[in-house]
Parts: sequence; structure tokens; C-alpha cells
Amino acid sequence: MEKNNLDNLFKDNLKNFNEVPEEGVWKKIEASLDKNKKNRVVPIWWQLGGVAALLAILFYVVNPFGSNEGNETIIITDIQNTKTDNENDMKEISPISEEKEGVQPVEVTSNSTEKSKTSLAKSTQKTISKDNKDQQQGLVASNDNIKTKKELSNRLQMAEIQNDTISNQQAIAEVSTLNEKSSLKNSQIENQNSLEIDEENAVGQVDKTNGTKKSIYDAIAEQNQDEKEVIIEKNQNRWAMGPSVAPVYFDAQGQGSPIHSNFATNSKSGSLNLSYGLQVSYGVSKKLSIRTGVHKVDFGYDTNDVVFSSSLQASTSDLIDNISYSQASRNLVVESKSRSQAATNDVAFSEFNAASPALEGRMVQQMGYLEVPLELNYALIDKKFGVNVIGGVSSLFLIDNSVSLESGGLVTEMGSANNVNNVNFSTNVGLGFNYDFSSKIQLNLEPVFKYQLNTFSETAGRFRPYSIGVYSGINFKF
Amino acid sequence: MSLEELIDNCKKGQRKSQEELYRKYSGILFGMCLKYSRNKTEAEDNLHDSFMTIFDKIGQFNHKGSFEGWIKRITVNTVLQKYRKERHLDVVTENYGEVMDVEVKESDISLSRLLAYIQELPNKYRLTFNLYVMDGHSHKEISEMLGTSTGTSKSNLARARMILKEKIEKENINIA
Repeated sequence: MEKNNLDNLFKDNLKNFNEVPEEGVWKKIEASLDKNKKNRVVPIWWQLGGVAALLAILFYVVNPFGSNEGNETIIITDIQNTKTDNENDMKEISPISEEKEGVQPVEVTSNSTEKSKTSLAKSTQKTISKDNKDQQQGLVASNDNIKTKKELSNRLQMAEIQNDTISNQQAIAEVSTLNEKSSLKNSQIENQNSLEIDEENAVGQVDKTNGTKKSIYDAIAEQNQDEKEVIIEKNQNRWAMGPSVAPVYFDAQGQGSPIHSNFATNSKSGSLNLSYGLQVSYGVSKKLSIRTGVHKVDFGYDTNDVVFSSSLQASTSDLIDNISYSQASRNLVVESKSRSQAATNDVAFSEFNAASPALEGRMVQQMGYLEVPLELNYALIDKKFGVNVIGGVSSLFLIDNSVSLESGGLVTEMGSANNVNNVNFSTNVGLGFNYDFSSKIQLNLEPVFKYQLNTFSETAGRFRPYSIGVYSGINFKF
Repeated sequence: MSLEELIDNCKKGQRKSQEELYRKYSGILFGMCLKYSRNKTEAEDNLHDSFMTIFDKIGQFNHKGSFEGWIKRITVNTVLQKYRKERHLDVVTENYGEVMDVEVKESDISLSRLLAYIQELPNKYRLTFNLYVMDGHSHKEISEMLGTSTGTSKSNLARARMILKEKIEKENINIA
């Protein structure tokens, strides 16, 4: 047999060979899917349980999103038609408490109203739904946001609703996505009703009124394109919040000293500190989000090669202007080592130095701040693993300020610097890497460079402080 | 529901849609698995693993290109991965009885026989034959997929053809 004949024999018979597997295979796949789900979700929640509890407490105390945002998922709990015309039946939509479950009740409504030509107008967004079997329905959601626009309930200009209700809510967004596509393709809306939601009771009452079908249909056609974009955005979790922690390295460019010109030429070394806090972000669009938060951050640096001694006759001329000395340290004389050596050549100083031996060491300046950043986060890669560019400014509020001397293992408090501004700013540039554990939980790692603008009111020489921090944290999206 | 919607719902992890997707494609993919595997049981295992990968990675499918092509690639890769792992077990498995016992209609005897012949081939020969003849890959592609050289791939194909030829000739004598 020729090779080609052999190949063709198999190819012709088996190339598109198709066989339905036994039912048991699907059962196994289903079981594995269930198992994977459990494996994935449970350990993360165990690990993050502590953090979640902490957040829950914070939410309770701070409630950063106000009643408006927070209550929205509850608002749609009950939807009833209060007025019906001859074609409409009373419908009740069962309570929606969670995002996923939120999809179900509306589907149920769709089925139950299949035969009656019913359109419902509902709160956050309008959704015109129509099932595949040419049944006509419109589901338009309206929520308390719209309440102010009374004419909407009569006219239902879809475009306006769309624009007015862009703010949103996850459950409805999901529902609308589901219903939207099929409906837009072939909808003919005969009746339409609007729902008005009783805000005070947090219970939606559906108020059906007749409207003109043409206006809705036209509006839908016009808004078709915009809508899709908006829906995509709505599907995102706009808000994210989470703790963040970072090692922060503080140092300065240029020679100079914020303490005294004497120390301008001394070498400075930056120090590593910890920053921790909470950050909140809001997605403006799919790619762009704005974020803020509160971080506690410590900055510090050392001025090396410092000589200090205590003088019995402390004179004001020996004091450094930029330091407010603590009571106990008033008779400390601190000098740069190089200056001190030069001074020993001076006869007048040699006696002084002999009388009180000087200690060599370093001068440590520490500042603690509450940092409130305002940053824009632009997603370069927006997948399970994401890369972002971060840019923005921070306001830093001084809460801790000290200067101390260290020699060997000894630490002596000097006082606090009086040229440190109570409020200063920094410009921030960074890269963000994130990894989505699930649609709700995201792990972040963000190296950020922060250039400090006005940490000190006066410095000797060019002392330009900056900080570099690698912020890591977990974001919870909702 | 369009395929696109079905895929999107699978991305959200909706079980009903996952099942629908399975029903839609399990026939094609099981056919592939049968050709690439040693027997029905292994084919079922491979089909299971393939669908697990498909549901796991479906979020990465961006509607560019054919979905069917995408899931077929996943299936082939799943199978290749499996048999690459057990390369040292690369011996002919005696599976005649099991496969031949299947009752078939006269009209498709040759088809199930042909399938059995392929399944009886040693791993490397079977994979090479399938990749080359059924799925139209070049020897260069096959050598990359299997981590061998093109020369090995060519000789594997030649050996596969020889074995198949012998089996068919033997069968023809039996029939005659």
C-alpha cells in the first residue's frame, strides 16, 4: 500500500471523527469544577479573614461611601407593579441580596411575563429585555438617582436615563448585560412602564405608566453604541479598598543640610522606614482610576561624622538655630567633625576640647507624617496580571519630629527641628503590578518614587529629599 | 444564545453555560482524544483534563480567531503533556481485546478498526501520526511540540505507517 493511500485512508475516515462521550464524563468535570471552586475560594478567605474583619470594622466606623452607594443593592429588593392596565399582571420580583442571585429573579420575571407584553422600567439603568422567542418586554431600571427627574417617568428618554444613572450598582449592571443584547436585536416595545423606587423604605415600587414605544425604540437605537461601553464599565467593580504596607527609603539629592550649613558637606545616609495605611480607589473608566487613602509614614536620615560634647557654659552662639532644643540638651555642642578638627588648631578651642572630651557619632533626624495621596492609576495591561502607571501628589501632615544624636550604642535626644513644615507635598510617580485572585480580590505591588517638594522651610545648600517605597497590599473590590 | 454570549457566561463561571459549551463541543474533542489516546478510558481522562483547562483559561480567549481552533489546541496540548510525562512508559500496550470487543455495525467496522489501530500505536508514533496526518502539522512543528528533532519525527511517522500498514494487510487477509 502506498504511503499516501494509507494516510488518506485514515484521514478520510477519522479526520472529523466525532463521538459523544458518556454522561459520566460531564459529571466528573462538574465535580472537579466544584472542587476547584472550593479549593480556590476557601484558603484565600482563611488567609484574609483577619484583614476582612478589620475592614468590616472600618466600614462600620467610617462608612466611607455614605448611604447612597452602600444601600443600592438593597434598594431593588421588592419590585411591584402598583398600577396595571389590562395587559399587565401584577408582578413581584423576589428579593435580591447578592450580585449573583441578582440575576436570577429578573430572569424569572422574564419568564413569567413572557406571554404578556410587558415592559418594566427599573432604576439604575434601563434595560430593555426581550427573550429569544420574540416575546416583548422591556425592563427598565430606575433608582433613586432618577427620582429628581420627574419627567422621566412619563417620557422615559432612554438617553437621559442612561446618562443620569451611570453611577451604579453591580446587581443591576449584571442583569442589564444579560438582558440587553437579546433585547436590542429584535425588540418591539409595545408597552412600557416605569418603576419608581420608594427611597425611604428602600423598597422599590414599580409604577407602571403607558409610554410611547417609538421614543424608547429610537432612543435605544441611538444609544446602542454608548450603552455597550457603559455596560462594560458597569461590570467592573468601581470601588476598591484595602490595606497597604511598604518599606520606604528616604534620602536626598545634592549636598546640603536642613539643620545647619556646618553639616552641608557631611555625608548623609538615608534610612529605611515603614509606611502603612489604607487606600481607596474609584474607577473612572475601565483603564483609569483615581485613588486616595491615609498612610502613616516615617522619614529619616542620618548626618554622619558629627562631633558633640557637652559644654558647661552653654552660649546661644553654640546652638543651632534650626533646632528647638529640649531642656536637657541645651548645653550640647554639636559640630561637624571636619570643622571640629579645624577648630582644634585654634588655641582658644583646644582648652575647651580638652576639658570636655567630644564624642563622635551621627545626628539622626526623624519625621513622621500622615500622608494623604491623590493619584491617578492608568492600566497599561488590564488582565489577570495587570500593569499600571501611577502618578499624583501627596499631602503630608507632620505628626512626629525629632533630632537625636547617636554615638556607639548611646542615643541622646537633642530636640526637634523647627524648620520642618507642618504640611508639605510630594509628587509621586510609580509603577503598579497587580494580580487578580478573583474578581473581588487583588494583590498589588507598587514601587513608587516620591519627590518631596517642601519638607523644610529653609535648608543650607541643596538638600532635595525624596522617598522610594515598594507598596504592597490587597485590594477588595466592590 | 450566541457563541460569544455563551463564552462570556462561561467566563463568569456560570455552570449552565459551561454545560452547554461542553455539550456543544464534547463530541469533536472526544473524537480527537480517542485518536490521541491509547484507549477509551484514557481518552475520557484527557477529555476531562482538557475541559478543565478550557474552563480555567477561557477568560484568556478574546474572541479573536476561532474558538473551536482554540479548544482543539488546548486538547492536543493536554494530551501531549500527559504522554510527555510518561515517556519512559513508551511501550506498546496490549489492548486488542478491549477495543475489538466493542460491537459495531458493519458499515462502520473499518472506522472503529482504524481507530483501534491508531490507539494501539506506541505513544510517540501515535502522537506523531495524528499531528502529521490528521491535524496537518509539519515535522518542524511536531518536533517542537514533542521536544524531539525533525529527524526523529520523520522516523516516528515512518514507523507508525509501517505498523499501520502491517495491521491493515493482516486484516485484509483475515477478511479474505
